[in-house]
Amino acid sequence: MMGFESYMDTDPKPSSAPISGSSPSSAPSSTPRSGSAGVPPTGDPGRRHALRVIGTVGAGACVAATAPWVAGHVLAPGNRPSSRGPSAQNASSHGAATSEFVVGAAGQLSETPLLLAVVGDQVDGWTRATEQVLGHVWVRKNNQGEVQALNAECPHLGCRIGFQKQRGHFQCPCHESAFGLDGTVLEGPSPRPLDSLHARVHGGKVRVQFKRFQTQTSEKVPLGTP
Amino acid sequence: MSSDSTNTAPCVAPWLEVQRSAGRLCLWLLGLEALTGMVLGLTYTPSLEHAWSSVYYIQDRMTFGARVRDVHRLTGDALLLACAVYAGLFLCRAGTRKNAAAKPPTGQRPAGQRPTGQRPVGQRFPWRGLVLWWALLGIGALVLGMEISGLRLPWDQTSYWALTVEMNLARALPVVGPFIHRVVAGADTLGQLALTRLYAAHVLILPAMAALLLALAKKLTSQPQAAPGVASHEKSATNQGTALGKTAPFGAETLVVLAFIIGAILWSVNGGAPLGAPADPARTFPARPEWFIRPLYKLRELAPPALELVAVFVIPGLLGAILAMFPLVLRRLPAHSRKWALILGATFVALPATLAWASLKDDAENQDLQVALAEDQQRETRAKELAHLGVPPGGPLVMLARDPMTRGRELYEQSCMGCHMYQGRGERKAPDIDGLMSRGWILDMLKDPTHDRFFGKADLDDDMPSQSKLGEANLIPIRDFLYALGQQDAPKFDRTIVDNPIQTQSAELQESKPIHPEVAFADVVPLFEAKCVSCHEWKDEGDFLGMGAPDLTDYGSMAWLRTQVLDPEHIYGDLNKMPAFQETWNEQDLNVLLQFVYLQRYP
Ligand code: FES
Repeated sequence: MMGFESYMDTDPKPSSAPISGSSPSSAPSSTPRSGSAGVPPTGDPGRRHALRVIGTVGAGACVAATAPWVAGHVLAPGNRPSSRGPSAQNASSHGAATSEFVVGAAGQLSETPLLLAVVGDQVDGWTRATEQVLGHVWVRKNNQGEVQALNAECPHLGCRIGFQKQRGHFQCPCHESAFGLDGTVLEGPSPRPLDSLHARVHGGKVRVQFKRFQTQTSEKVPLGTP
Repeated sequence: MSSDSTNTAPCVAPWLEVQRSAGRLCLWLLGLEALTGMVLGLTYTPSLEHAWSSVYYIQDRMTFGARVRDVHRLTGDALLLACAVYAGLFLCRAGTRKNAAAKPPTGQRPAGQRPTGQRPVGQRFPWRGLVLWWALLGIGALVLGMEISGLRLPWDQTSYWALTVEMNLARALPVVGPFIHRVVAGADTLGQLALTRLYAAHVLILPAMAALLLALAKKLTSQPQAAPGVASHEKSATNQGTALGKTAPFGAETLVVLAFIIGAILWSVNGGAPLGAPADPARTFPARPEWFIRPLYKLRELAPPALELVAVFVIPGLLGAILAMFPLVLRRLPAHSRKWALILGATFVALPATLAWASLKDDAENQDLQVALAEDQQRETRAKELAHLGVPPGGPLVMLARDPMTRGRELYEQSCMGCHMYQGRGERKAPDIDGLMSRGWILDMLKDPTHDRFFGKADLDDDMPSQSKLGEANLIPIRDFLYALGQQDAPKFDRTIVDNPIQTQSAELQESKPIHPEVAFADVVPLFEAKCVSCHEWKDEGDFLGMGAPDLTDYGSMAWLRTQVLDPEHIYGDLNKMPAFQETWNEQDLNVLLQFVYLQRYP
């Protein structure tokens, strides 16, 4: 822009008078050429200035309109199908059928919630690693003996939920959201209860269908890639 | 600009000087950032495995590394403040000028010809001045961006969790949110791509953009538009460097302030640039933003949940827009009310400061928070002790996950603390973990097995009687023999554990000779068999009295501990009260936990 400006300032030949300026994107490039078309030798600085502004704005608008799209595709490789390889089943947290993880032994469970790690394959950029911690779940047995699993990620803004033994509730350390044993919001800014996950006991093991959800929404919106 | 200082009220001139100094200071601080950044760049490595470790290495091993990092970190803060001061002065001068020109850099308009209020007919709108102001604001925004991205690079708990919250907030923005998140983080989970991108932004993209804007600002200040009646070369001579102090980059007063800043940073090194425990997505951590984002943190807290995004994005956005348009507003205002506009603006500075102060005060009074921070501090200390000896290629988390005193202790707290006490924490329904199976522990236990430290609270059906009657002459050999039984399969702890200051170094840890207790203590075996094996099982024999006392085969060894944890009935028979912890841990965790317990024998 600066170069453009100084060029215009020092241009001895007035150039822009005949251009109507109605086509913003073509204005800058066509200005110099049209200068020879029988124009009075002294240009109208106001008009030249207007053209300059229009041209700049037009070019800027074109760039602004396409940049997000280009940037989105260049900068977000996670968006390309190749990153979800055929063996990404367990790594992919939204493949419902394959997202069941063994998180621990049924014998450990009690009515006091227990924090268990979800371990599986993880794709991170160009790496794929096995036995990575994908997330954490709070698991407990309720008084009917059913297994209950809650994602330990705060639905507010994603901090890790802790359990306050003395007070008997879940607590987020970041903005003081508190949740009951069943995940309901007791206080704080969380827009929804803790995300419950499908869990069952099979063969003495606790199995949880692990998913992560978008934060800050009142509905559970599953996240796409792991 | 000089046309101002000569033609208009003389009171403007000192302010111009101050503004120039502030501008110069900004440039100097930027230069200092670039310089220290290059030094840090010689070592810092933006990868999940190496980021924290390389920063620790800078602090720990590099000559002046910690100082350079302190300066780099705090100069960033100083730069932000200097930019703010500069912008304030810029506006003040625009507001206090007596002539009609809206903004200082457009001072080529004949001064004092017209009262403010309406644009003179035929006079062009001062785009140049406005664009300059925007460029300066842009530079300020970029400095802020560099500061934020830079603070996330150490990848410690503080930076990781702050980033988590920030990225989740960004993602919550309607329409553009997911896009921003994808561009910055590269994936749904904050991982390697996020770190790489922050790094690229910090060292490459943002500085490059700032340099472009600086060049633009310089051009705008040094090449004034041709104004009627004034030759342009005259103008460029007089106007040069008004905004950014280009005329005298070595201004003495600026250098004094700069030296003062550097001195203050070096003098107050402690905590200048802290490095917390390595980022661990598995661990709860109270995310808190840096001081300059604190006001937003508090504002979010004050806002009703439904209006959080308004508080965090719309309000600062509006303030930014007002700031961007402020020169125009000033231009429209009659001279006497400009002062009031500026005073009003100044109160806006006080407001965020109050918010930040209130938030910091809340935190200081928050007990839970202090406890959580203290816990993390412990982890930080330990991580640094281990890192001092070298971080494994897998990174600091792998290092900590293999450390009995970190991971083992954590597992103990998860599963064992309900019955076994350790360092005064936990319940007492079984023997304490402290000093378990050490020489002292064994001797004391033989003398007084029903002490609360040992089996007093275990509520066993049959208690072991005190063996004090045997006398120390007999007890000590028996103790040594029992202790040696446990040494048979002593794990070879690696250097990181041996050298660990939490667990006192012990020469025995380095012993690697295989031990054969029954050979080494051949003379003790008959005594042991006579006194102990009548009740205790021993190599599939013993317990001749049918007391069902615990099996002493390989007592206290890693193998024995493993059986004790996975299948305690095998050792304690009918006396057993301890649950079996089969399938609770994977092999690595189990091993680390057993090592944690085993290490207790080296008091
Ligand atoms: S992240 Fe949990 S309350 Fe904000």
